[in-house]
Amino acid sequence: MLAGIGFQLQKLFKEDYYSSRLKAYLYSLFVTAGPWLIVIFTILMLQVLLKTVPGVNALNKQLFMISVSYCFMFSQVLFGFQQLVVTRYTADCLYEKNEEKVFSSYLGFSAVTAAAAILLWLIFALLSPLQWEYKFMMLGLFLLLNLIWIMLLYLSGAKNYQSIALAFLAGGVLSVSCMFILLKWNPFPQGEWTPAWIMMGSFTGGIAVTFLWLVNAMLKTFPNRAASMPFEYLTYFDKYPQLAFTGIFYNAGLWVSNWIIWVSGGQWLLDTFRYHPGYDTAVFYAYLTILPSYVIFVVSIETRFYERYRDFFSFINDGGTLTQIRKSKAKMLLVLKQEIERLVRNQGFISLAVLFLALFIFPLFFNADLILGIFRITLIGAFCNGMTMIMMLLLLYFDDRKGALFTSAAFFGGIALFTLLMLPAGEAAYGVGFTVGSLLSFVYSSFRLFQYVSKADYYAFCKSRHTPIEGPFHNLSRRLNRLAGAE
Amino acid sequence: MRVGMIAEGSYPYVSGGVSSWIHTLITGMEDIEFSLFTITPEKKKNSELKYSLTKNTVHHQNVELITDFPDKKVKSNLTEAELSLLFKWFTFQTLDPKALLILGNQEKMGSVEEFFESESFYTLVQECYEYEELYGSFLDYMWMWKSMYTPVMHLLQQDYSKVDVIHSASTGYGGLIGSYISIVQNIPFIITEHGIYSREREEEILQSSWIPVIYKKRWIRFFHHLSRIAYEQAEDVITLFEKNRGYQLELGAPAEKTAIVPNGIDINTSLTLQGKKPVFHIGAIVRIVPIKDIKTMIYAANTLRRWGYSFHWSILGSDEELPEYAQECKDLVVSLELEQWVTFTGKVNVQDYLLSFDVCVLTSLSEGQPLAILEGMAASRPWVATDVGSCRELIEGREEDPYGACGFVIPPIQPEELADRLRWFMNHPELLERMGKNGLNRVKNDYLLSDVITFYRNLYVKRGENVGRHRIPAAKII
Repeated sequence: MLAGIGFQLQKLFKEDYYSSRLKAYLYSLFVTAGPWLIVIFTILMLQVLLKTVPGVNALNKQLFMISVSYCFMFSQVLFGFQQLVVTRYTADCLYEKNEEKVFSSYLGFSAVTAAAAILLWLIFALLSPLQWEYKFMMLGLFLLLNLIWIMLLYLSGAKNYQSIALAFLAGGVLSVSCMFILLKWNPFPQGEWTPAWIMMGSFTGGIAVTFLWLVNAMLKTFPNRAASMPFEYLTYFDKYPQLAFTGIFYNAGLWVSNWIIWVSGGQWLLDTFRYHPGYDTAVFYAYLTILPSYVIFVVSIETRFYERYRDFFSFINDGGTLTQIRKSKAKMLLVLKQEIERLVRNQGFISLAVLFLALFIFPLFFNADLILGIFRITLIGAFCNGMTMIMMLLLLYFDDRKGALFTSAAFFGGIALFTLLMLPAGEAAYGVGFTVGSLLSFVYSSFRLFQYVSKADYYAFCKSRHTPIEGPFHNLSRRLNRLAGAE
Repeated sequence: MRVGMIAEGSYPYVSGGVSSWIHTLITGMEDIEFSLFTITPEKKKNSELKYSLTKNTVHHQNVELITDFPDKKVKSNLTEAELSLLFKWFTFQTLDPKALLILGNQEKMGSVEEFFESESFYTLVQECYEYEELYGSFLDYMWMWKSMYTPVMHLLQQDYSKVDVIHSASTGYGGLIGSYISIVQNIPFIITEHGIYSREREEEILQSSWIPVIYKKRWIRFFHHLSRIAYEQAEDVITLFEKNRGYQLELGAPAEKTAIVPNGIDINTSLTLQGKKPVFHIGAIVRIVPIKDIKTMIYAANTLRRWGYSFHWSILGSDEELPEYAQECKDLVVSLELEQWVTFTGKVNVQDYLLSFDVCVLTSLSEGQPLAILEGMAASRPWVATDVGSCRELIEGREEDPYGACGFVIPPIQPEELADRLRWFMNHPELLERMGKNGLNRVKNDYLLSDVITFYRNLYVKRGENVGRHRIPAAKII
């Protein structure tokens, strides 16, 4: 999925002195985790800011933070459902030199997602006793986020990383400053939920700026915009249903332990949101610790490994002899092993370091042993979690859709199962299920990956390439295309 | 008694040549039932039939070389011993009939698709690649394998109806399923080869552009291998003329099994003279296709006219097969301004024309044993034909032939030579009749249809009788 920036990075890495190496790492960090970092940083900034703004009570702050989290969480799950399928579709379009279909699929993808988002929101809105103004504001944020994830997929595919990061930066700065100014001077008459409303408005405003910036980038990236058959991509749900399920399981797996713990041990906020302050916070910080993995993944796997991967497949497809194929496979396997080892070692070191530091630093910020306890265990889980994701991406590199599906199913199923099993042990065992489940999927996916790659030539030559040419999604796609008047 | 007749890519969907031979044979034996197995490259519709099936054809089964429809999923399940036998068979080291039984057994091989997706297949193809030391693109090697063995497996995995004797009109895929049916049903197998299949494929392969050069030899060996299997399994290896028998021996047919049974023709005594031209009349009984080299005739006609001879040249035969080529020929006639000398009649009843010809011409680039020449000879017409297939044998007679030549053979693609021979006939009208007689005599003695039919009927009966008596069923050895 990320393949492509590797080539630019290679140039930076070849001049092997420190300044350029540093540049390369920063660049990688920027392009991979950039948007995510900026969003997290924005939220952290907001939290810090809120402490300095008087007159906003805890309930308002909570309502705001939780609404934003819910929008993020569910938009990710919704996006994850289609993400891999669409990626595959656009990759195929580009491979078959049908570039003009890519933009159409963007329109279709956005339309389908928006419809699903509105539906989901409607259910939420009918059940929640919150004010309708606030609920509509949430709908705005939810829709914007959904549409942003979609644009990210297309823009990173087109390697337009710079505009992505700038868009988030602009949005983040606007959110923070707008919120600060509005809360500080508070030009609105006091009302029970006004602060939450203002915060939500500022944040959504910032996100809207990001959105518009990205739209602009989209228009520049796709100068020839055709809108024929925007829903054709749906046929890929018939062709590669495993990809859809992989996306659902993985994205749901990221949150399933939270959901279970909310239900059993969480609390209500305003009869609308379930949450568990201790667990949610701990897991959030645990996830932060695996950020370096993204960078290391891009730098090591996408550069050194990708080169061997390319060699191997070019020997297969462009007429290499059996000896060449075998040798290049051995090289590829070796590098894959080295790079995964390096990834595990480096991230492992970082996680361990954070684990020890946390013992000293955490008590300064939180006065709850519970959070520290959960953090320590979920940190290990987050490590396995990150590794699972990387293994899954690598499996998809080799088009082992079954392996990726099993991995994500094990990820979701394992976490759900062990979280449920550990519930009787009470709060002290929170996070154990998350960690055990992640560990299992990590172990499984590593075995699967090496087993599969060691037979990569067999799969490349002998695996069936038949995909269904009819199915319910083909019908749906035709109908929607006709509806859109684009057939 | 039921005879299984295997027609590869011919009867009843193509007219002429092998097709008409099969049709004549079946028509001539009303007392024997036939099961017809036609191998076609793709699905055929009934509307494509060129012959309506005879009453004694009790069963007609079409087998496509490959299907578009994915077959049902059956996993491949082969033992070490079976794999090593297959390795030898795939690398042409053995003709063991057990290999065919494995290939045809879906329980063991798996369905075609499943086999090619199995790990045993991948191991096998790697071993063969290394064994053969060709060292070309492995992807191409793989493709070659799949395209070579997909039809083989597909054909062998069909169910074939029960017959008493199996008779194939070619080696190749026809010979392959003939051998297989013979092994599985434990019945005798007869081959009649008109053209030499593996030689024909050889030419095609050498000319093809889609096979990588490095793998052409292997393709050729593959078809030789198929022929050898058929020769090995057959009780009788029959061909039409001596030259072909020589090729068969060269390709590994055991000499004691070979026999020559030429084509046969009825002597039609009711021929009438119609459409007699006032000038010297040259006739050609050919389909308008490139392999018949119609253009050489047109150039020869042009030469004759230049030399100042008056004549008329009628080209009889269908021009529907390759309309573009037919148009080219007609355009050539127009551009040489030969419209008054050369006419294309289209498909007509040859019998009506034969007696009006002073001499007949055949300019083919390749032939087996052309019925056209026999027809002309039976009508006591003299001939000029190219020296391909058994034309020389027909026109000059075999060794120790007592009847004398009934015309001339010339090398192919030689319009001047052809014109020269025709000029000779025009200059010696008194010899036309004598030469025609020679031909008629030869037909009467060596090429009578009734003799051919009697031969095959006797052979079927003789071989059929032996079923279950002297033969050890190959299927039971395993």
